[in-house]
Amino acid sequence: MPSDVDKVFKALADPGRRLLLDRLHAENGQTLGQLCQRMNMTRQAVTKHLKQLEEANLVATIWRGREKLHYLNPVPIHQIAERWIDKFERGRLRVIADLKRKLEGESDA
Amino acid sequence: MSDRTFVYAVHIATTPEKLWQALTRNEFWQEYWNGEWRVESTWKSGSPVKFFNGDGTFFSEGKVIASDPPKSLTYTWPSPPEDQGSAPPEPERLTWQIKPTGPSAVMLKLIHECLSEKYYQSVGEGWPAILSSLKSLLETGQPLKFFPRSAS
Repeated sequence: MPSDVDKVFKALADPGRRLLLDRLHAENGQTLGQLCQRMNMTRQAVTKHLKQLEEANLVATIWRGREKLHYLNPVPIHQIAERWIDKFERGRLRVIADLKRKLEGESDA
Repeated sequence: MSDRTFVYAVHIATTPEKLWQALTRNEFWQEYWNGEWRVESTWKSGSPVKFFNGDGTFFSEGKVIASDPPKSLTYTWPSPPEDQGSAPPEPERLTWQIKPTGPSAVMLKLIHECLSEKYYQSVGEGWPAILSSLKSLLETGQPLKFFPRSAS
């Protein structure tokens, strides 16, 4: 059985799933229908990706009446950061990340 | 619903009862919050919840909206009086949901609603650290040592 960390990396390894996380990062708490808009994917594919993201705990869901809302859950990513990054200086990493963004434009692809 | 809502989820190797204690007992609060907060309540539905800063000064008083130990707990966490001019009409609300996923494994979900503009950004960064620290405390007996807040 894959460990929690395996599930996180596996979930993050797909560009479609990363795009879904980006969409939730831009606007948290969306329904399946909202997430399907402007996605170059079938509803079935989005459903499958969301299921995998939820199993990896990168997406947390709550029900509001009959609507299932999806939220980006940053806790597993935080735990990965704790494991490898925190002993280095976070401030400096942020400066490097900012510099990279400025030099390369806003795209992170 | 409010658009300023965060939902967090974390798996913790513990029991619902221990997790409930961690969420409601002061000693635990102070440990995994790095001593920054103290909270006082009987955690019964309708009872007050008093929040204190780490230095002991009063922060604000909320109210338990729903309490179902050891499964779920909802209470308000109002802004302090000096901030209430910019606060949203409804106070911030925290809901903790505890769901067993195995003999000694639970899924903890935290729903933080009605955030003011002012706190929306900072809260987003804060909870993952607090929840990781809570997980660490329950699983290993040691909370995570936070880095001092950067002066950004």
